[in-house]
Amino acid sequence: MNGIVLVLTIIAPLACGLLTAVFGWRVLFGWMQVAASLLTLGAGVFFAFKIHTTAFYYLEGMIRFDAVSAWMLIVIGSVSFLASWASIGYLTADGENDKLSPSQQRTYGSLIAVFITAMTCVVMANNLGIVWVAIEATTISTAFLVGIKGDSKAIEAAWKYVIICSFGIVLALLGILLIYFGAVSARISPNDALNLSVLAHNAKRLPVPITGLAMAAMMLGFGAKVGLVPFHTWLPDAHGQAPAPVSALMSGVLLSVALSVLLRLKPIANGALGVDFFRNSLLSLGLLSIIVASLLMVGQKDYKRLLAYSSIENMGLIALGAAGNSKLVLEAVLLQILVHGIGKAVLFIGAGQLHQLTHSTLVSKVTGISRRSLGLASLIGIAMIAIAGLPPFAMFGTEVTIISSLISARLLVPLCIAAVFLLLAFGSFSQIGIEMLFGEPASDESKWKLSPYFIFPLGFGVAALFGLGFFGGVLNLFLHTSAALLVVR
Amino acid sequence: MTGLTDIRLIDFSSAGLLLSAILLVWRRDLLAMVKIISAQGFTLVAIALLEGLRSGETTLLLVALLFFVTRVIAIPMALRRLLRGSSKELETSPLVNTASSLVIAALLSLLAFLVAQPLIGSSHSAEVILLPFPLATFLVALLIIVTRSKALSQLIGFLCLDNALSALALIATSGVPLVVEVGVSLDVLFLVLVLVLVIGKMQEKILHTDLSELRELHE
Repeated sequence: MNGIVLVLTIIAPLACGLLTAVFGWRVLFGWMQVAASLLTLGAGVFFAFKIHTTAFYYLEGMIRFDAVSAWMLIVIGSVSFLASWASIGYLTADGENDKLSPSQQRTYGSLIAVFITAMTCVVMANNLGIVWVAIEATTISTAFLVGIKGDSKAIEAAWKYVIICSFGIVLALLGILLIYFGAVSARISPNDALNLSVLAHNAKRLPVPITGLAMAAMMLGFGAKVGLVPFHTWLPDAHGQAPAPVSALMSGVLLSVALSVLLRLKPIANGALGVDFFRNSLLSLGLLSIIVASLLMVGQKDYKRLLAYSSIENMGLIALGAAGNSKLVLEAVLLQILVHGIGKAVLFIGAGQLHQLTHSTLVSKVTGISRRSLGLASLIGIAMIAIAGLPPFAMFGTEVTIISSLISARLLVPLCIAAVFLLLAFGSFSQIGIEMLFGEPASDESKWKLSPYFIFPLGFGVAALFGLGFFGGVLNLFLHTSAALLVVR
Repeated sequence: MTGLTDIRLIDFSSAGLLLSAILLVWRRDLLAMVKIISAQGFTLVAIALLEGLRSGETTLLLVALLFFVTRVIAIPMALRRLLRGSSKELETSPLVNTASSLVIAALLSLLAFLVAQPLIGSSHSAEVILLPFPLATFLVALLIIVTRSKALSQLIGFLCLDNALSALALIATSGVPLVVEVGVSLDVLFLVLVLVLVIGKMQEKILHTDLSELRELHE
């Protein structure tokens, strides 16, 4: 039964992609993709009830499914549910500038399915080689999605995206080879030398200099995909140029799926190199990302880029939390991954609707949304409050938990730096948000006609944000089990 | 064949790997660079083949075949097709002149030999002594990516990076599991095809492939 559900979560989106590739894109296939995402979400919830401390292993240990995978499946399912719904809106848009040709629609529909499936594979894989291949598959499938508009800006963004991410991923491959080398020389059987759980179990036997080098390479390499500094530069371009639902998927799940790989590496690093190495590396990568992102958010003129920098900043904060080793802070990390995913998906889908209405991603062209559509303004406004980390939304709690974990670890200097730059980011985010929502309208004040394909997912997303804020407690038990798996003793 | 000559042949092929990387630094002509990268793919095939014959593992022979199809035939063919479209853009405009970049390449190779010493000490297998070659190739490939501004030169640098890693896998570990090797090779193939398509679109829409002139997206 369990195996069947897992196979279905992989096959269902792929089948939609295949149908689209063969017959061209149809609205029906779009709805099937939405259903497949719901299936993924359902599978995550199904396992959330089933899995407690055990994990399922398949294919000679190459596939592992535990509570953390189930959690990530929920994240993938809920964000792709929103994004696939909005994709129908994106593909059926009839504005002159937005209309994609049938062949572009076909590419879009089939690649987004490959993209979602590849992310599902990453969170289930228990073999570093498969993790690598699946992460690279996300790069390949999204490269075309980023450049789908085919104008010079989109091509430039696609090029930067592929080159920087591949560069990062090659670095990660170097790390994987080195750890294989280390594991084999520590007399771990070559068949198991890339198996994450075997490596974690035998971490104390791994040779120190090679494992250190390997970990550094993998953290930088996979960190590129998380959007952590120094290889973050692809992110604003790709998020800015990609179609809005794709940006929603990249920002909402792709980044955190890559981060979940780092979380899986932690027991290996801590076992072989001591607690400090992994903690200090993640702390510095996270802090640097927060600093760079918040500085670039100041006075940002493009709202999609603003959202992209906000994602880098959030990933930095999540990395700070992931550096900790208490159950509480890891619970906060997992919850923040989900809330950030849904919140960012709502904001990017909202950005997509704005772009369709105004044909611009410039803040100055899209001011005064509340005068033109109160409904859209309130949905976007609520999601902005949620992403900014204000109560009653769950990110308020998770951010406070992550920050206070720095206090209890007596990391006061990082704490102060993080606090200052998070405030700066908060300031610029809300300033631009207020200007867009309540400023003077850039052109006329005529009412907008909104697309239901955008408004419904927006409504669902905002409802989910409220639900997680008020009734997030129902997840506690599941969060406890998932976070307990990530604590390294 | 005795073990000793075998090691020497692998030694020879690894040296070829580094040599072709240095040739890439030296040459500016894109067509010549494609030929060199194809030759480098061949040294990789030789390493996999020799390693397979020596250890008697048939999977390595399959890997060699895979490398031959992707790195020697398919990828160079795609690159050549790309060049046919733009005969006027044969010269690259490097950031660092040839002489200095050759000196830097030499220094990087020296660095690789120094870095590899502790790694060599920690293993008992005979061919691990060849580890500096792929490491040096890796660093030289980085140099190519950083100093070239044409999209195709960067792509070739990236391929060189990948060849170096594959060679590292073969030499340091006698080949990682086949399923990983196949996945990696196919991924590289796809990636190159993606980049080739992107470059093709660039030629069509932006009318040049000089990346230093891609300046539309910035802060």
